[in-house]
Amino acid sequence: MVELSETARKGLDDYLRQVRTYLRWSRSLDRDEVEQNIAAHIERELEGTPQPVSSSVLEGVLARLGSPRQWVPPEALGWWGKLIIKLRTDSEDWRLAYISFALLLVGFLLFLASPLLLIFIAASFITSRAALAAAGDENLGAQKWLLYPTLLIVSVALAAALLGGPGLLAGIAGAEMYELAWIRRNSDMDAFGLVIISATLVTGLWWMVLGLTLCKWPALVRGPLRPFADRFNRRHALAIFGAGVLFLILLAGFITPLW
Amino acid sequence: MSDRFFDNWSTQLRKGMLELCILNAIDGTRLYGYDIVRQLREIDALVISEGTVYPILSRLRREGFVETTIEESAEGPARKYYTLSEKGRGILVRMNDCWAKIKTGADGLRREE
Repeated sequence: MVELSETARKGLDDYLRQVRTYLRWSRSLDRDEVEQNIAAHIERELEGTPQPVSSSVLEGVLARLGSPRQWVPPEALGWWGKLIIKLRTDSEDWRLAYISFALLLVGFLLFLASPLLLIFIAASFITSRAALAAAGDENLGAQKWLLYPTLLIVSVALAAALLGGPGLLAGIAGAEMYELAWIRRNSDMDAFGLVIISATLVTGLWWMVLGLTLCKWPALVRGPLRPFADRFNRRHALAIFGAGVLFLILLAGFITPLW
Repeated sequence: MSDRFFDNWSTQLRKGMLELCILNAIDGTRLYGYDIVRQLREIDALVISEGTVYPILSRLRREGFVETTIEESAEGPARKYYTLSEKGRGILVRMNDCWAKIKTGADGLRREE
């Protein structure tokens, strides 16, 4: 029997441990047979080598044998084993993509009508951003299909909140205010009209402020809405500002005859 | 891009060729795993990881194309010898014929430079 040094023995044990981990997911392969094949191969390969065999020599033999994973070919695995091994051995960025998509899926399947869904979406969003940072835009490849659903949902929600949030809040506030008696006393406008006017006024003002702010710092929108707003620039910011001005002009044209 | 294409293509090619080469290596003789690996090692670019040979041998045994006998060895672990079964001999003839046709046809498509 070939005698291994202590570090070489540890290296071999580690290799065999990894092989056993993969073998666990195969029903068709004989674990003992695989280990015997490895042992016999190493024994023959190291015949005539000065003993105890050093770890560097053994590492060379193991490198030629190949990764522990290849001892369990894909056809010897069930679908579940393939999935587990893929998750365990794929590069870190792919694992993040799987986790991100799984969080989104579980959130929608189990908590569709519950506030818990927001927690799952938030967790999925953070994981997606981490995967995006790890892989880089150039190397995303098919990961896009796993990462973009969450990013798109959050980006659309953020964009909607950014553009329409203040207007929506103003509309709600307008509806509440209408309940106040003094409004009713001083105006013959109905609730719907007041809500629309409040929302349009605040939205117009907000878009003007937002447009001017983003014109100065367009990166403020590029960062949170990556990768969908990567091309956002000052011209887009000016368009938002222009839309705000247009809202106010339309509002003025509508409101003037009423008063 | 072309490197990745070539890598995928050569991997697929090697997978198919390894089975043929293993069966040819043990045709008319009996070899144990390490000797088969050593013979295949001589064919440039065929065996990237030597460990891939053993799962193929196990599969060929399960399919009934090869038979194994185990002999104790004074020098180390027991040695498992592989020989071609009757069924294996039959499939090997067909595989060699098929490969010869493909190779002849593929060579015929190549234009002289």
